[in-house]
Amino acid sequence: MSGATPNSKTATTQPAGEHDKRDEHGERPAWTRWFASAHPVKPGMLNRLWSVPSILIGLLFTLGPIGVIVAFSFMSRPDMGGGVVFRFSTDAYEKLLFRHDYFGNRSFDARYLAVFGTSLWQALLTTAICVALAFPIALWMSMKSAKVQQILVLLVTIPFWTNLIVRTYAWMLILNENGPVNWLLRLLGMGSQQLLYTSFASVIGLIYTFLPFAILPMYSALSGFDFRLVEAAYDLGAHKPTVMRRVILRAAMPGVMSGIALCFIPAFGSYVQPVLLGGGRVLMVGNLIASQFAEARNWPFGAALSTVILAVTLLGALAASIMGGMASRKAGA
Amino acid sequence: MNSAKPLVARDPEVERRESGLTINRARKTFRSAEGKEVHAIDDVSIAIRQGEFFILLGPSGCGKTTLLRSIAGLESLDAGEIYLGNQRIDQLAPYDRPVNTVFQSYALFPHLTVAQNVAFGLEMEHKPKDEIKKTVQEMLDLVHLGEFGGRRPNQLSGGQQQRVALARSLAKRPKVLLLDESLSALDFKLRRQMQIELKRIQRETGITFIFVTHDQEEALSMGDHIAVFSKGKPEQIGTPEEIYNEPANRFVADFIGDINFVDAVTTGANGITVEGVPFKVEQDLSAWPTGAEISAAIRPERIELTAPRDTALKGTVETLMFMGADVRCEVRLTDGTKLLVRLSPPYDTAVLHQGATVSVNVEAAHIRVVER
Amino acid sequence: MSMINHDTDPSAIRYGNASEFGAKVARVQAAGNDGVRMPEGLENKRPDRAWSTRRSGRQDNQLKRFPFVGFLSVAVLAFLYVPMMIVVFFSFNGGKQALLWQGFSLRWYGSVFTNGAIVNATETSLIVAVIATVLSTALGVMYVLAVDHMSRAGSALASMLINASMLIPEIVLGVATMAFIRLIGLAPGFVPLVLAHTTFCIPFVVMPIRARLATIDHACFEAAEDLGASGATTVMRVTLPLLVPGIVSGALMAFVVSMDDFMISNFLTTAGTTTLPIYIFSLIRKGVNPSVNVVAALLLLLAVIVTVTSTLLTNRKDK
Repeated sequence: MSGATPNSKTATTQPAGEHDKRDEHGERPAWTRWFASAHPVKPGMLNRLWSVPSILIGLLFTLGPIGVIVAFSFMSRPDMGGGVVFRFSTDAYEKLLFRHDYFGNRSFDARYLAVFGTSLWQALLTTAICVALAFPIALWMSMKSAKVQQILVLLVTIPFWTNLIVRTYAWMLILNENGPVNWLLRLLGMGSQQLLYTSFASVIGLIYTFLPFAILPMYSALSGFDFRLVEAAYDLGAHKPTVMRRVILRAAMPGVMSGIALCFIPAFGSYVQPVLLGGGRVLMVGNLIASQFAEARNWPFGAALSTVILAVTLLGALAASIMGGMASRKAGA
Repeated sequence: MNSAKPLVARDPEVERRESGLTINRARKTFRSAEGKEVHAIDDVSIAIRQGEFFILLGPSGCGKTTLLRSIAGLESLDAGEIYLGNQRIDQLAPYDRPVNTVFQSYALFPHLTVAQNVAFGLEMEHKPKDEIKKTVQEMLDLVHLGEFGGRRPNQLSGGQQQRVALARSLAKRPKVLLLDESLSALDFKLRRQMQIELKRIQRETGITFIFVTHDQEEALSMGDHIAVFSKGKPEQIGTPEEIYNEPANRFVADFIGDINFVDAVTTGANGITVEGVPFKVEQDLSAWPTGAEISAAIRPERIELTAPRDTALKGTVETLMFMGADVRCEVRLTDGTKLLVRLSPPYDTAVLHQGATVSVNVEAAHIRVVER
Repeated sequence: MSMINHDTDPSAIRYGNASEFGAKVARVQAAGNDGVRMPEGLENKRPDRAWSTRRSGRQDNQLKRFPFVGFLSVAVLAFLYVPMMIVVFFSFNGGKQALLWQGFSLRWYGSVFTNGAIVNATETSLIVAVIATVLSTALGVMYVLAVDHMSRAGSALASMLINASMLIPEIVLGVATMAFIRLIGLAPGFVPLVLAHTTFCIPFVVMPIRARLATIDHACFEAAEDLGASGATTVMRVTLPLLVPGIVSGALMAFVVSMDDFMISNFLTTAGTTTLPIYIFSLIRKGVNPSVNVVAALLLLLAVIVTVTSTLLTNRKDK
């Protein structure tokens, strides 16, 4: 792998390559110093080339598809069936904002913006509640003894790894007409309510799904926090709310940023919860895109929607990482 | 206006033929985080005799560890060669060199037992199984860990881990053993014990030991020859006595033991004056012009304090501390310089008491002139 | 433990006059190790300890009680578990309907294990997951070891490529992969499914391996080469054995992620490659279903096993 000479103590020296040749002063050629770190493999590691297969498959199955979908968004839709016709067109993007009536007049169409709005609203609500609930939990966890913390992390991580469909199904069960919640309501004399197939159910499902995503990064940020700083603050006369605000919150901020990013981005493009719990009747970004590639058979439009979502989430991720970086510096990380 | 040149090694050609380790004009440069070029090893030539205990001494960042790693093959030189006897080794991979290292963190393999650790190098040589077993037991006995073969590294104390690392490296009977600050993680008492152990093992096996440390006491007590390093170059190479009594320049004088620096002026080839008082000096001062401003480096135990005489250098006793085995005394000269003096009791309290005026005298052999 | 360190200067110990001390030292050196005895005060001297590294004060410290935090935390943790517990509860339902409790029974467990469609879907999921796990683990290990010594720019680029699948919303990745497959001429089916799974599993494999690598003293690798192991031998006999807990952890995570995947598989399936999540989804679209209760309980069990195993592996610090 590193072109070594055979394992022999009396091996005479053989230059392993161009970079090993020395001139009369024993100097290596200058250009080799640029690659000096490239050549010898660090002990115990592999040559850089071994990373190629994984990079290749990453390129093929992530960047490749993304490139294709962006390209498709600029193509035309065939007269019949799915797929695309390779003819440049911006029809798909126009459809986002405008509609053409029978006579070819163009007018502003807010429907799709409304869909974005609905998804955005649900995602923001979910993120806000998740973060608000996660913070006290993360704080509480980080103040426990080390052994208890390990157990608590375990308890939070198990839902994280449980199948998404299964977790969503649990709420289908609970909010069902014949489910426990309605059973309780009937007992209290309030009669059955239609809880399932509503936006309410969808948001509950989203919160349930993404809560661990918010707890874990916040806990991670707080677990490195030295609580003697809190004691020092009290010692200097600060009251609890002040301490909370200025000391603890500041330290947890990088975790909060991560939590926000990890909740919002997938929640925005979610599909399972709106369909299963929300009944799929309210159009959200997830099922809108899915339908374009299924019944609606408008691939370029679906591609355009996807491209916009992608742009929004990437910008969001970028913003979150920048703010997370700033928060880390402020927290003294 | 520089001081005397650092004492160089004997002719590298000669050394090479005598099968010691020779380093010839080695150079290695790093680029620091700010983009500056750092000369970690700056044109270094050293000859190490076969079978000796050689010490690379210096403050942190002076390049001694980089040089050691270059000998091991873990760093590559930008220029220069390294010879082991007649064989040039600097272009060989670490696994092809008959040189082994004891690392500062011991670097024992956590997933192997002590015996398997020690056997590792021998397995790499594809030695037969029973021979490996025998050698492993021999090595463990050598470091007084004969019963520990079945244990895991994490079950051992720091000192025991260090001895396993030593046994592991010695098992291959290398021509040269490199030790990288191996004792710095041990506490005081264990360190002293290990120093004696290492010397014993080195004498018994006859292997050339190259030992890196920043502790000058350790260096003086253990080394046959010491190379004092600063900023990538050896300032002086010599025996402990030479380094201590005849430091080549200010850096070496200051780094080793306690020293006093007194401003003085040269007056010819064998004399200086301190505050106008003449002193004879055995060292050859012809490298300096007459009237040059230099520093006289004097060891505290070489200063004699007597009742004041008019013609001698005068000072005032400021503090006097009885330390048991000796007496530590601080004397302030008229020009403000504070001298640290060490005396063996008994001493005359009439002459030496707080506030007394005394005369300061030093024999010619014990004054060492260095740059200011 | 209460050895408070006096400020003892070793040279201040009384040995009588100087020459006696010198003689004593000489005798000691002649006698060998056993002659060395430190004076009482130093015999038991421990190395100086840093100030206590406990981060938080005593557990019952009043100052740390923020109101309601404890109550809220326990409530939310219950919120996380109660729904799943209800599902598990109902999976043992003896009745015909999913929600009408009619006594404890294992009938639905029996029914699920004989349900052809579910068994097929599970088999498909397992096969895909195993292959994807093997591939992504192999690729992930190779990646981590190759990238460890890349320049900062190089490794940033590489990690972006590897983690890209985590940054893209699943719906977009799903449809995009389908479009991509179509474009390069592959029909949706087993091969693209496995490849897509492998791709999004790689980041989950890389993370614990990277974490594990960071805990290993790299001097071990240098020591191995110093002792005569070539590059390849070092990797085989030192690096990989030491990474095993991270590798196993990563493989477990990859397995779970692959088994769980719905969105991306949804757009890549054909009639013959229905995975378990897809099948369940189609079942429950129509409403609650007693078989699904059982499958849900089993998948929860899978998550528990994987999480506990992974935690035990990563917390074993003796290696």
